[in-house]
Amino acid sequence: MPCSDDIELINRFRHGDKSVFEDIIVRYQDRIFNVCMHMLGNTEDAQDAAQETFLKAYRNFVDFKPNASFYTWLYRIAINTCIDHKRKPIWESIFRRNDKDEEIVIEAPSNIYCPEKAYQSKQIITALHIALKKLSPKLRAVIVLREIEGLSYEDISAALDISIGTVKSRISRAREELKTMLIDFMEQK
Amino acid sequence: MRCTTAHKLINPYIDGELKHEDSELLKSHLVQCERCSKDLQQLLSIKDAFAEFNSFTAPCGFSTRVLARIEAEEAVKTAKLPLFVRFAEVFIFLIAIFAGVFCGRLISSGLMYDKSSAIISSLSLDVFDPAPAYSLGGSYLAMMEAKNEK
Repeated sequence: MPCSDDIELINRFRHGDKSVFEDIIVRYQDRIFNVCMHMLGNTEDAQDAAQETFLKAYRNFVDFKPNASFYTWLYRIAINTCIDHKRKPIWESIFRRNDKDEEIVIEAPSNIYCPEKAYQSKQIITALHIALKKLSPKLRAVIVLREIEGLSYEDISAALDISIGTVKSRISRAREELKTMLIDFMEQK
Repeated sequence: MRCTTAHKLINPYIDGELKHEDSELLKSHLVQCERCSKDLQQLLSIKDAFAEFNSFTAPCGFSTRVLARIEAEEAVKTAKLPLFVRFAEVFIFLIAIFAGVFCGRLISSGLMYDKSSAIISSLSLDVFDPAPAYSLGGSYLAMMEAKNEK
C-alpha cells in the first residue's frame, strides 16, 4: 500500500491536479536515478532512463492500481526502461595485458564510480561493479533492488511482477555468478 | 540438514527473509559444515561490498527537465487539433472536386437532366426578337410597314 503522503498525492493527481506530479518526481527522483545508474552504468543513460520512467508514469497513471505500492510500480517502470535501453554503457575491462602479455589490474575508468574511502578491497568494489554489469538484465535487476535499494523479496516480486520463488532463485543465481567472477578476479591477483 | 538444502536457505538467511525455525536449523548446519560456512562468508563479503556502493542522487534540475518534457508533450497534444482541422479542410475540398467531376460525368452521359439545352434554345436567333412590338423600335417598324403598304 502506498504511504499516506503518497495516497494524498495520488488522489489529487487522479482528480486532475497535475501540479502534484512535481512533488512525486522530487520524492522519488533519487531512488529511481540510483536504480538506473546501477542498471546502466553511466550518468547519461541513467538520466535518460530516469526521465523516461517518470514520463511513462505520467502517461500511464491510469494503470496504477490504488491498492498497490506506488514506489514498486515506479521501480517496475524504471527496471523495464533500463532493460529496454539500447545504448551500451562505456565499461572497460579492469584487466589489461602488459608488455610481457601478463594480465594486470588497472584502475577503473573515470566514469565508473570508485568509493572515496580508502579500502583494502577497493579493487574488489570496482570488480564487483563490472561483474554486476556482466550479469544478465534480469539477474542484475533483482540484485540492484535487493542489495542497493534494500527492497524485501515481496517488494521485488511486486516490482518485477514475478513470484517470490523466482526472486529467490534469481538472487541465488546472481550471487553465484558474482561470486564466481570475483573469485576469478582474486585468482588473477 | 543436507548441504543442498542449506545452500537453498543461505541467500534468504543473509537477506533476513528466513523463518526463525529454518534459521536455527541452518545455523546448526553451518557450525558443522565448513564448505557451507565458507559459502556463507563469501556471500556475506559480496553483501558487504554492495553496502559500500555509492548511492547516486539525481542531478540538479532533473525534476525541471522532466516537467519540461511533460509540458512539451502536452503542447503537442493540443497542437494536433488545428492539424486535424487542416486535414478536414483538405478532405472536404477533395470531396467537392470529386463531386464536381462525378456530376460532370453524369451530365455528359445524359443521366442527369440538362437544362442547358433549354437555355441555349432561349438564346437562339429564331426566338430572339430584336424589336418586340411593345418596344420603341417595334413601334417604329410597324409605322414604317404601314406607310409602305399605303
